[in-house]
Amino acid sequence: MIINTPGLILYLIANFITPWRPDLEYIRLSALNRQIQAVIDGHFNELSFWVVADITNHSYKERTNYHYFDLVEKGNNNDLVAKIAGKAWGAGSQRIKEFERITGQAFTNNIHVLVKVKVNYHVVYGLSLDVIDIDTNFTIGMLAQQREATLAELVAKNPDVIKKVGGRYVTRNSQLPLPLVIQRIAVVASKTSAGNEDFRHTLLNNPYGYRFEIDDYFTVVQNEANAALFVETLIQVFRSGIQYDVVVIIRGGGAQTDFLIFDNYKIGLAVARFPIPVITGIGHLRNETIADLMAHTQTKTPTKAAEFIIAHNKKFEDEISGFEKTIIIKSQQLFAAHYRELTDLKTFIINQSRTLINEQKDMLVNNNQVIINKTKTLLSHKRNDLMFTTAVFLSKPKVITGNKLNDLSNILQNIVAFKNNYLKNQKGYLGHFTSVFNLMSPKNILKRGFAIVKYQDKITVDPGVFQPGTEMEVILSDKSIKSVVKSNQQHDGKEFNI
Amino acid sequence: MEKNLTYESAYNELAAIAREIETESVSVDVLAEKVKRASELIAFCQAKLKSTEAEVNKIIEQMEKGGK
Repeated sequence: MIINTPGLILYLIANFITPWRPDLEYIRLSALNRQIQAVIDGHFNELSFWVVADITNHSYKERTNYHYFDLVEKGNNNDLVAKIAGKAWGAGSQRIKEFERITGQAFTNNIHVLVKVKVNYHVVYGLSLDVIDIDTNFTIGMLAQQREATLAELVAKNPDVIKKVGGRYVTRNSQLPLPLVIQRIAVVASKTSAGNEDFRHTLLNNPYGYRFEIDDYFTVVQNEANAALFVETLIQVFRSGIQYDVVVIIRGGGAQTDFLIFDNYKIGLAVARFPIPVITGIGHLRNETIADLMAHTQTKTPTKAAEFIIAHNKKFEDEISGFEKTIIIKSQQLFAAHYRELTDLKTFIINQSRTLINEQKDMLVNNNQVIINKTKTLLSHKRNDLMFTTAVFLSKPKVITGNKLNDLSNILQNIVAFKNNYLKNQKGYLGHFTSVFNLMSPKNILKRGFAIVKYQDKITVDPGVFQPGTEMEVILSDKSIKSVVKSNQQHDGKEFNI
Repeated sequence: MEKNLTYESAYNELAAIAREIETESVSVDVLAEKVKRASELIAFCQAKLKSTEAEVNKIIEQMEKGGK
């Protein structure tokens, strides 16, 4: 029950303190409040207004779905200009739920909103504004404007550290490789953060028995004013000289306060520049803070950050056991394949050898057959040849003799035919020669007056031998005349001149 | 079997013999010799495989023990 202080005093006066001036006219507070209610209701009736305001002192009762808060307006110097209590329920709460869903912005303290309100006065709870609607676009636009401005400034001023590629921000930090296994962890968190405990608990009670070394670097992670302190803490981590695998920035638990510190320019830049991979677990289910965008890896909650690290290490272990499994399976497959190959080769060699031998056998048999057959054929051919030759020998001589006989009888006939002519001719020749011989015979020569002169019983034609006184025989015709030479003189006769 | 014979060289020789026999480029004079050589090589390869497999299984067993 909420009762403002002046109201409580009036209430006490009205009910428990005995009136000491009975003559004074008074009315009961409830009567006054009802009058106030009547005036307010009468004036505002069913009117509603769109109002721009900031939210503070927000609380939410889930059971009844009631939001209680103050709506305030601040001046240029952040001084309070106006303030009124507010609540939302029923349809209003429903609109706030949708607002949270659409904007990703929790309906909570220190947000600047455009709300539709009705003025409500309750005799017990006093004056308040009932929020019946909330403009999502207004908040989205505002938050986005702020964030975009900071992001644009980060990119513009630090081109060597932060780049916008597509819709994403690529920072020096996000480009750092995560170690294969994360074990040395620096945690930047609030000392009182329940998120810190969640993180530590999740990490240290991991089901795989991974061990971690966690160093805490406490800072204040609420309220934008502490940004410098936060950056200083990050620098401490760097200066520690410890080779941390990752730095985890945690926020969570406690009051649902603002996250503006993580949209701070300096923190964003510090995270982007940081030489050790940064993992965020800022405990903000809907929004991405600038620190998230600049970090290596962002997770939604400290528990999720721890789970990410465990999963990262698990991935490494899985990879290792995957290698192990692959090695086992592959080596078994390899062995099986080699055994099979060997068996195949063995079978192949055996079969092929047999085939080869069989082929050779067949060839041998064929050759054998060929030799047998061919030999027979050859022999029979030779025999035929021989028989033919024999036949030739048997028949040829008869033919030859026959022919010769024919020749002989031809010659004989020829001889018979030509013999008479020949003899006739020869007789002719003989007659001629006989008459020549007759003419030439000494008898006939002597008849013709020639004489043969002999000296000492020998015929001579040399008249010189006949010197006077030598004996000379002269044969004339058929008489031999012996004489003595009287003279031998040169003859100069003409008797032989025929 | 000669020293320093590796599985690979034995296998290659085996495959070469199989190829020779397949293409019938092996002469009958040396066929028996070749087949005998092949049987030796097969025995060698199988023995080598078996011993390697046994060794690998032992290592794997140790790996699995160590992993648990």
